[in-house]
Amino acid sequence: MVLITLVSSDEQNFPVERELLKQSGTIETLIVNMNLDDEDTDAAAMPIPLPNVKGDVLEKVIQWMEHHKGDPVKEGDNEDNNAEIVVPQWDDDFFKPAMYGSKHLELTVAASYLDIKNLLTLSCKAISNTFKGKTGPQIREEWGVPNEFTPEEEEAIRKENEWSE
Amino acid sequence: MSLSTWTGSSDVNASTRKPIDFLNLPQNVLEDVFKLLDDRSLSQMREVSKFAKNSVDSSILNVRKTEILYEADSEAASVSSEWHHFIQSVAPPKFNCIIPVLKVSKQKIFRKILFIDSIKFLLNVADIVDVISIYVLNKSELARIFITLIREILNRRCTELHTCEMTHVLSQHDIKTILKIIHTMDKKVSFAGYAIPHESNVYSKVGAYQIEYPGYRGPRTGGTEISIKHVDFEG
Repeated sequence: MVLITLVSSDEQNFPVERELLKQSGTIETLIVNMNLDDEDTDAAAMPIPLPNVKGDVLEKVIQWMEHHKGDPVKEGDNEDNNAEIVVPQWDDDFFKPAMYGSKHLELTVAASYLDIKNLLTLSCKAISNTFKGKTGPQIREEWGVPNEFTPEEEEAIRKENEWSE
Repeated sequence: MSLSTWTGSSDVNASTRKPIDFLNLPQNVLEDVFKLLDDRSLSQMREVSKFAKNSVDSSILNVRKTEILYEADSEAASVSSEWHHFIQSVAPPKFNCIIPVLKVSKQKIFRKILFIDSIKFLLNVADIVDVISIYVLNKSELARIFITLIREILNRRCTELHTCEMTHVLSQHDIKTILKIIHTMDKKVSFAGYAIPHESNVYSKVGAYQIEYPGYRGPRTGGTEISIKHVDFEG
Protein backbone atom coordinates (compact mmCIF):
# COMPACT_ATOMS: atom_id res chain seq x y z
CA MET A 1 0.00 0.00 0.00
CA VAL A 2 1.48 3.35 -1.07
CA LEU A 3 1.40 6.01 1.60
CA ILE A 4 1.66 9.72 0.98
CA THR A 5 2.43 12.11 3.79
CA LEU A 6 0.35 15.23 4.25
CA VAL A 7 1.75 18.02 6.41
CA SER A 8 -0.69 20.35 8.15
CA SER A 9 -0.12 24.06 8.80
CA ASP A 10 1.00 23.24 12.34
CA GLU A 11 3.50 20.75 10.92
CA GLN A 12 1.80 17.53 11.91
CA ASN A 13 2.51 14.62 9.55
CA PHE A 14 -0.31 12.38 8.34
CA PRO A 15 0.66 9.32 6.27
CA VAL A 16 -2.40 8.61 4.10
CA GLU A 17 -3.20 5.76 1.75
CA ARG A 18 -2.72 6.95 -1.84
CA GLU A 19 -6.13 5.64 -2.91
CA LEU A 20 -7.96 7.83 -0.39
CA LEU A 21 -6.44 11.01 -1.79
CA LYS A 22 -8.24 10.59 -5.11
CA GLN A 23 -11.18 12.25 -3.40
CA SER A 24 -9.26 15.52 -3.18
CA GLY A 25 -8.89 17.40 -6.45
CA THR A 26 -6.24 19.68 -4.94
CA ILE A 27 -4.05 16.87 -3.59
CA GLU A 28 -4.53 14.81 -6.73
CA THR A 29 -3.17 17.72 -8.78
CA LEU A 30 -0.19 18.07 -6.42
CA ILE A 31 0.52 14.33 -6.65
CA VAL A 32 0.55 14.52 -10.44
CA ASN A 33 2.69 17.67 -10.48
CA MET A 34 5.17 16.17 -8.03
CA ASN A 35 5.28 12.88 -10.00
CA LEU A 36 4.50 10.98 -6.81
CA ASP A 37 2.81 8.23 -8.77
CA ASP A 38 6.00 7.45 -10.71
CA GLU A 39 7.67 4.21 -9.70
CA ASP A 40 11.02 6.01 -9.58
CA THR A 41 9.77 8.61 -7.11
CA ASP A 42 10.14 7.99 -3.41
CA ALA A 43 6.72 9.30 -2.35
CA ALA A 44 7.51 8.76 1.31
CA ALA A 45 10.39 11.23 1.06
CA MET A 46 8.21 13.94 -0.49
CA PRO A 47 5.54 15.11 1.95
CA ILE A 48 2.78 17.37 0.65
CA PRO A 49 2.47 20.59 2.63
CA LEU A 50 -1.06 21.86 3.23
CA PRO A 51 -0.45 25.30 4.74
CA ASN A 52 -4.15 26.18 4.87
CA VAL A 53 -5.31 23.19 6.93
CA LYS A 54 -4.62 22.72 10.64
CA GLY A 55 -3.76 19.30 12.01
CA ASP A 56 -6.99 18.66 13.91
CA VAL A 57 -9.04 19.60 10.84
CA LEU A 58 -6.90 17.50 8.51
CA GLU A 59 -7.34 14.56 10.85
CA LYS A 60 -11.12 14.90 10.52
CA VAL A 61 -10.87 15.23 6.75
CA ILE A 62 -8.84 12.02 6.57
CA GLN A 63 -11.31 10.28 8.88
CA TRP A 64 -14.13 11.34 6.56
CA MET A 65 -12.22 10.17 3.45
CA GLU A 66 -11.52 6.81 5.07
CA HIS A 67 -15.21 6.28 5.68
CA HIS A 68 -16.05 7.32 2.12
CA LYS A 69 -13.28 5.31 0.49
CA GLY A 70 -14.52 3.97 -2.82
CA ASP A 71 -17.40 6.42 -3.16
CA PRO A 72 -17.73 7.91 -6.65
CA VAL A 73 -15.89 11.22 -6.86
CA LYS A 74 -17.95 14.11 -8.21
CA GLU A 75 -16.56 16.17 -11.06
CA GLY A 76 -17.26 19.67 -12.31
CA ASP A 77 -19.05 22.47 -10.54
CA ASN A 78 -21.24 21.86 -7.58
CA GLU A 79 -24.71 22.02 -9.15
CA ASP A 80 -26.56 19.90 -6.67
CA ASN A 81 -30.19 20.53 -6.13
CA ASN A 82 -31.29 21.10 -2.59
CA ALA A 83 -34.11 18.58 -2.79
CA GLU A 84 -31.82 15.78 -3.94
CA ILE A 85 -29.26 15.89 -1.15
CA VAL A 86 -29.72 13.93 2.03
CA VAL A 87 -26.98 13.88 4.65
CA PRO A 88 -26.48 10.19 5.49
CA GLN A 89 -26.74 9.21 9.13
CA TRP A 90 -23.01 8.51 9.49
CA ASP A 91 -22.13 11.96 8.14
CA ASP A 92 -24.77 13.63 10.27
CA ASP A 93 -23.27 11.99 13.36
CA PHE A 94 -19.81 12.97 12.14
CA PHE A 95 -20.71 16.63 11.70
CA LYS A 96 -23.06 17.08 14.62
CA PRO A 97 -20.64 17.44 17.57
CA ALA A 98 -18.99 20.46 15.95
CA MET A 99 -21.95 21.80 13.98
CA TYR A 100 -22.24 25.20 15.63
CA GLY A 101 -18.57 25.55 16.45
CA SER A 102 -15.65 26.91 14.48
CA LYS A 103 -14.37 23.42 13.71
CA HIS A 104 -17.23 22.46 11.44
CA LEU A 105 -16.72 25.70 9.54
CA GLU A 106 -12.98 24.97 9.32
CA LEU A 107 -13.80 21.49 8.03
CA THR A 108 -16.06 23.04 5.39
CA VAL A 109 -13.40 25.53 4.33
CA ALA A 110 -10.84 22.70 4.20
CA ALA A 111 -13.19 20.67 1.98
CA SER A 112 -13.39 23.66 -0.35
CA TYR A 113 -9.62 24.24 -0.34
CA LEU A 114 -8.85 20.56 -0.84
CA ASP A 115 -11.58 20.31 -3.48
CA ILE A 116 -13.34 17.33 -1.88
CA LYS A 117 -16.71 17.88 -3.51
CA ASN A 118 -18.73 15.24 -1.67
CA LEU A 119 -17.49 16.45 1.72
CA LEU A 120 -18.13 20.08 0.78
CA THR A 121 -21.66 19.33 -0.40
CA LEU A 122 -22.60 17.32 2.67
CA SER A 123 -20.95 19.77 5.01
CA CYS A 124 -22.75 22.73 3.40
CA LYS A 125 -25.99 20.78 3.42
CA ALA A 126 -25.56 20.09 7.14
CA ILE A 127 -25.10 23.83 7.71
CA SER A 128 -28.07 24.75 5.52
CA ASN A 129 -30.22 22.23 7.40
CA THR A 130 -29.69 24.25 10.57
CA PHE A 131 -31.40 27.23 8.86
CA LYS A 132 -34.40 25.33 7.56
CA GLY A 133 -37.72 26.63 8.85
CA LYS A 134 -36.03 29.27 11.02
CA THR A 135 -36.57 33.00 10.97
CA GLY A 136 -33.68 35.45 10.68
CA PRO A 137 -33.77 36.27 14.42
CA GLN A 138 -33.82 32.54 15.28
CA ILE A 139 -30.76 31.95 13.09
CA ARG A 140 -29.06 34.92 14.77
CA GLU A 141 -29.80 33.44 18.17
CA GLU A 142 -28.61 29.94 17.26
CA TRP A 143 -25.36 31.09 15.71
CA GLY A 144 -24.64 33.93 18.11
CA VAL A 145 -24.81 36.68 15.49
CA PRO A 146 -25.46 40.12 16.99
CA ASN A 147 -28.46 42.08 15.68
CA GLU A 148 -27.18 45.10 13.75
CA PHE A 149 -30.54 46.23 12.40
CA THR A 150 -32.73 49.02 13.67
CA PRO A 151 -36.43 48.08 14.01
CA GLU A 152 -37.12 50.18 10.90
CA GLU A 153 -34.47 48.33 8.88
CA GLU A 154 -35.82 44.98 10.05
CA GLU A 155 -39.31 45.98 9.00
CA ALA A 156 -38.07 47.09 5.55
CA ILE A 157 -36.31 43.77 4.94
CA ARG A 158 -39.36 41.84 6.10
CA LYS A 159 -41.43 43.69 3.53
CA GLU A 160 -38.91 42.85 0.81
CA ASN A 161 -39.07 39.21 1.86
CA GLU A 162 -42.85 38.97 1.86
CA TRP A 163 -42.97 37.43 -1.62
CA SER A 164 -41.29 34.25 -0.37
CA GLU A 165 -43.69 33.68 2.55
CA MET B 1 -8.46 14.10 20.17
CA SER B 2 -11.02 15.14 22.73
CA LEU B 3 -14.49 16.22 21.71
CA SER B 4 -14.06 19.70 23.19
CA THR B 5 -10.88 20.23 21.12
CA TRP B 6 -12.60 19.19 17.91
CA THR B 7 -15.85 21.07 18.45
CA GLY B 8 -13.93 24.29 19.12
CA SER B 9 -16.61 25.44 21.49
CA SER B 10 -16.58 25.55 25.25
CA ASP B 11 -20.36 25.29 25.55
CA VAL B 12 -21.06 22.53 23.08
CA ASN B 13 -23.68 21.09 25.33
CA ALA B 14 -25.58 24.33 25.49
CA SER B 15 -28.74 23.93 23.47
CA THR B 16 -29.15 27.53 22.46
CA ARG B 17 -26.52 30.21 21.98
CA LYS B 18 -23.37 29.26 20.10
CA PRO B 19 -20.43 31.65 19.81
CA ILE B 20 -19.29 31.12 16.24
CA ASP B 21 -20.50 33.11 13.26
CA PHE B 22 -20.98 31.01 10.11
CA LEU B 23 -20.74 34.24 8.13
CA ASN B 24 -16.96 33.97 8.53
CA LEU B 25 -17.01 31.38 5.76
CA PRO B 26 -15.34 32.46 2.50
CA GLN B 27 -17.79 33.86 -0.03
CA ASN B 28 -17.53 30.85 -2.37
CA VAL B 29 -18.34 28.44 0.46
CA LEU B 30 -21.12 30.68 1.71
CA GLU B 31 -22.59 30.57 -1.80
CA ASP B 32 -22.44 26.77 -1.71
CA VAL B 33 -24.55 26.91 1.47
CA PHE B 34 -26.95 29.44 -0.07
CA LYS B 35 -27.43 27.17 -3.10
CA LEU B 36 -28.83 24.53 -0.78
CA LEU B 37 -31.41 26.82 0.81
CA ASP B 38 -34.99 27.12 -0.36
CA ASP B 39 -36.28 30.58 -1.29
CA ARG B 40 -37.87 31.20 2.09
CA SER B 41 -34.75 30.27 4.05
CA LEU B 42 -32.64 32.39 1.72
CA SER B 43 -34.92 35.34 2.36
CA GLN B 44 -34.71 34.76 6.10
CA MET B 45 -30.94 34.79 5.80
CA ARG B 46 -31.23 38.45 4.73
CA GLU B 47 -32.66 39.23 8.16
CA VAL B 48 -29.69 37.78 10.05
CA SER B 49 -27.19 40.61 9.62
CA LYS B 50 -26.13 43.33 7.21
CA PHE B 51 -23.29 41.14 5.97
CA ALA B 52 -25.66 38.22 5.44
CA LYS B 53 -28.10 40.45 3.57
CA ASN B 54 -25.36 41.82 1.32
CA SER B 55 -23.97 38.32 0.75
CA VAL B 56 -27.35 36.95 -0.33
CA ASP B 57 -28.08 39.96 -2.54
CA SER B 58 -24.70 39.91 -4.26
CA SER B 59 -24.57 36.16 -4.81
CA ILE B 60 -28.15 35.55 -5.84
CA LEU B 61 -27.35 35.21 -9.52
CA ASN B 62 -24.79 32.54 -8.69
CA VAL B 63 -26.97 30.55 -6.36
CA ARG B 64 -30.22 30.44 -8.29
CA LYS B 65 -30.88 29.02 -11.69
CA THR B 66 -32.23 32.03 -13.50
CA GLU B 67 -34.54 31.82 -16.44
CA ILE B 68 -35.51 34.77 -18.56
CA LEU B 69 -37.83 34.87 -21.50
CA TYR B 70 -36.54 37.44 -23.92
CA GLU B 71 -39.17 38.87 -26.20
CA ALA B 72 -38.26 41.23 -29.01
CA ASP B 73 -40.62 43.29 -31.10
CA SER B 74 -39.70 45.50 -34.01
CA GLU B 75 -42.43 47.92 -33.01
CA ALA B 76 -40.93 48.58 -29.63
CA ALA B 77 -39.27 51.96 -29.49
CA SER B 78 -36.36 51.25 -27.22
CA VAL B 79 -34.91 48.79 -24.81
CA SER B 80 -37.05 48.67 -21.73
CA SER B 81 -35.73 50.88 -18.97
CA GLU B 82 -36.68 48.17 -16.54
CA TRP B 83 -34.31 45.77 -18.23
CA HIS B 84 -31.56 48.36 -18.34
CA HIS B 85 -32.13 48.68 -14.62
CA PHE B 86 -31.85 44.92 -14.28
CA ILE B 87 -28.50 44.79 -16.05
CA GLN B 88 -27.16 47.81 -14.20
CA SER B 89 -28.14 46.13 -10.99
CA VAL B 90 -26.03 43.08 -11.62
CA ALA B 91 -22.88 44.73 -10.28
CA PRO B 92 -23.60 45.52 -7.58
CA PRO B 93 -27.06 44.02 -7.32
CA LYS B 94 -29.76 45.88 -5.51
CA PHE B 95 -32.52 44.00 -3.85
CA ASN B 96 -35.39 45.73 -5.57
CA CYS B 97 -34.06 44.04 -8.68
CA ILE B 98 -33.00 40.87 -6.95
CA ILE B 99 -36.55 40.02 -5.93
CA PRO B 100 -37.69 39.54 -9.53
CA VAL B 101 -34.47 37.67 -10.22
CA LEU B 102 -35.26 35.29 -7.39
CA LYS B 103 -38.76 34.97 -8.72
CA VAL B 104 -37.76 34.16 -12.26
CA SER B 105 -36.81 30.69 -11.17
CA LYS B 106 -40.53 30.23 -10.54
CA GLN B 107 -42.19 32.32 -13.18
CA LYS B 108 -41.14 33.43 -16.58
CA ILE B 109 -40.80 37.08 -17.43
CA PHE B 110 -41.82 38.58 -20.74
CA ARG B 111 -40.47 41.92 -21.89
CA LYS B 112 -40.72 43.50 -25.29
CA ILE B 113 -37.41 44.79 -26.48
CA LEU B 114 -36.35 46.15 -29.83
CA PHE B 115 -34.35 43.42 -31.48
CA ILE B 116 -31.64 45.23 -33.38
CA ASP B 117 -30.63 47.43 -30.44
CA SER B 118 -30.74 44.57 -28.03
CA ILE B 119 -28.18 42.02 -29.13
CA LYS B 120 -25.55 43.33 -26.76
CA PHE B 121 -28.11 43.38 -24.00
CA LEU B 122 -29.16 39.82 -24.79
CA LEU B 123 -25.53 38.68 -24.66
CA ASN B 124 -25.13 40.41 -21.30
CA VAL B 125 -28.12 38.45 -20.08
CA ALA B 126 -26.54 35.26 -21.45
CA ASP B 127 -23.52 35.97 -19.25
CA ILE B 128 -25.58 35.76 -16.08
CA VAL B 129 -28.44 33.35 -16.63
CA ASP B 130 -28.75 29.66 -17.42
CA VAL B 131 -31.84 29.62 -19.61
CA ILE B 132 -32.94 32.05 -22.31
CA SER B 133 -36.04 31.92 -24.46
CA ILE B 134 -36.13 34.26 -27.44
CA TYR B 135 -39.32 35.36 -29.06
CA VAL B 136 -38.74 37.67 -32.01
CA LEU B 137 -41.32 38.94 -34.47
CA ASN B 138 -38.95 40.70 -36.83
CA LYS B 139 -37.37 37.52 -38.11
CA SER B 140 -35.91 38.95 -41.29
CA GLU B 141 -33.39 40.89 -39.25
CA LEU B 142 -32.61 37.95 -37.03
CA ALA B 143 -32.21 35.37 -39.80
CA ARG B 144 -28.94 36.90 -40.96
CA ILE B 145 -27.23 36.39 -37.66
CA PHE B 146 -29.26 33.61 -36.07
CA ILE B 147 -26.56 30.92 -36.01
CA THR B 148 -23.95 33.40 -34.81
CA LEU B 149 -26.33 34.49 -32.08
CA ILE B 150 -26.88 30.91 -30.93
CA ARG B 151 -23.12 30.38 -30.78
CA GLU B 152 -22.53 33.61 -28.87
CA ILE B 153 -25.29 32.93 -26.36
CA LEU B 154 -24.28 29.34 -25.67
CA ASN B 155 -20.62 30.33 -25.42
CA ARG B 156 -21.59 32.35 -22.36
CA ARG B 157 -23.03 31.11 -19.08
CA CYS B 158 -26.34 30.19 -20.70
CA THR B 159 -26.67 26.46 -21.36
CA GLU B 160 -30.27 26.22 -22.45
CA LEU B 161 -31.71 28.22 -25.33
CA HIS B 162 -35.24 28.16 -26.68
CA THR B 163 -36.43 30.01 -29.75
CA CYS B 164 -39.96 30.15 -31.03
CA GLU B 165 -41.44 29.48 -34.40
CA MET B 166 -41.43 33.18 -35.26
CA THR B 167 -37.79 33.66 -34.29
CA HIS B 168 -36.30 31.58 -37.06
CA VAL B 169 -37.01 28.29 -38.80
CA LEU B 170 -33.84 26.27 -39.21
CA SER B 171 -32.73 24.63 -42.46
CA GLN B 172 -30.96 21.25 -42.48
CA HIS B 173 -27.73 23.15 -43.09
CA ASP B 174 -28.44 25.32 -40.01
CA ILE B 175 -28.93 22.20 -37.90
CA LYS B 176 -25.62 20.73 -39.06
CA THR B 177 -23.87 24.02 -38.29
CA ILE B 178 -25.40 24.15 -34.81
CA LEU B 179 -24.28 20.58 -34.15
CA LYS B 180 -20.74 21.47 -35.19
CA ILE B 181 -20.73 24.54 -32.96
CA ILE B 182 -22.03 22.84 -29.84
CA HIS B 183 -19.63 19.92 -30.25
CA THR B 184 -16.71 22.36 -29.93
CA MET B 185 -18.01 23.62 -26.56
CA ASP B 186 -16.65 22.35 -23.26
CA LYS B 187 -20.11 22.31 -21.68
CA LYS B 188 -23.34 20.39 -22.22
CA VAL B 189 -26.06 22.49 -23.78
CA SER B 190 -29.63 22.25 -24.96
CA PHE B 191 -31.26 24.05 -27.85
CA ALA B 192 -34.91 23.99 -28.83
CA GLY B 193 -36.42 25.72 -31.83
CA TYR B 194 -38.19 25.07 -35.12
CA ALA B 195 -36.92 23.51 -38.34
CA ILE B 196 -38.13 23.20 -41.91
CA PRO B 197 -40.03 19.88 -42.18
CA HIS B 198 -37.87 17.26 -43.85
CA GLU B 199 -38.14 13.54 -44.48
CA SER B 200 -35.13 12.99 -42.21
CA ASN B 201 -36.98 14.60 -39.30
CA VAL B 202 -36.82 11.61 -36.99
CA TYR B 203 -35.05 10.90 -33.74
CA SER B 204 -31.32 10.67 -34.24
CA LYS B 205 -28.08 10.95 -32.35
CA VAL B 206 -25.04 12.86 -33.55
CA GLY B 207 -21.97 12.57 -31.37
CA ALA B 208 -22.89 13.52 -27.83
CA TYR B 209 -26.17 15.12 -28.87
CA GLN B 210 -29.59 13.69 -29.46
CA ILE B 211 -31.94 15.34 -31.91
CA GLU B 212 -35.67 14.97 -31.45
CA TYR B 213 -38.65 16.19 -33.40
CA PRO B 214 -41.54 16.11 -30.93
CA GLY B 215 -44.00 16.40 -33.80
CA TYR B 216 -45.50 19.80 -33.12
CA ARG B 217 -45.89 22.07 -36.14
CA GLY B 218 -45.97 25.83 -35.79
CA PRO B 219 -49.24 27.24 -37.17
CA ARG B 220 -47.67 30.34 -38.66
CA THR B 221 -44.63 29.00 -40.49
CA GLY B 222 -45.29 25.27 -40.62
CA GLY B 223 -41.88 24.73 -39.04
CA THR B 224 -41.58 21.60 -36.96
CA GLU B 225 -40.34 21.61 -33.40
CA ILE B 226 -36.75 20.43 -32.89
CA SER B 227 -34.76 19.69 -29.76
CA ILE B 228 -30.97 19.28 -29.77
CA LYS B 229 -29.74 18.23 -26.39
CA HIS B 230 -26.55 16.75 -24.94
CA VAL B 231 -27.21 13.19 -23.81
CA ASP B 232 -26.08 14.09 -20.30
CA PHE B 233 -27.78 17.48 -20.18
CA GLU B 234 -29.63 18.10 -16.95
CA GLY B 235 -31.98 21.00 -17.38
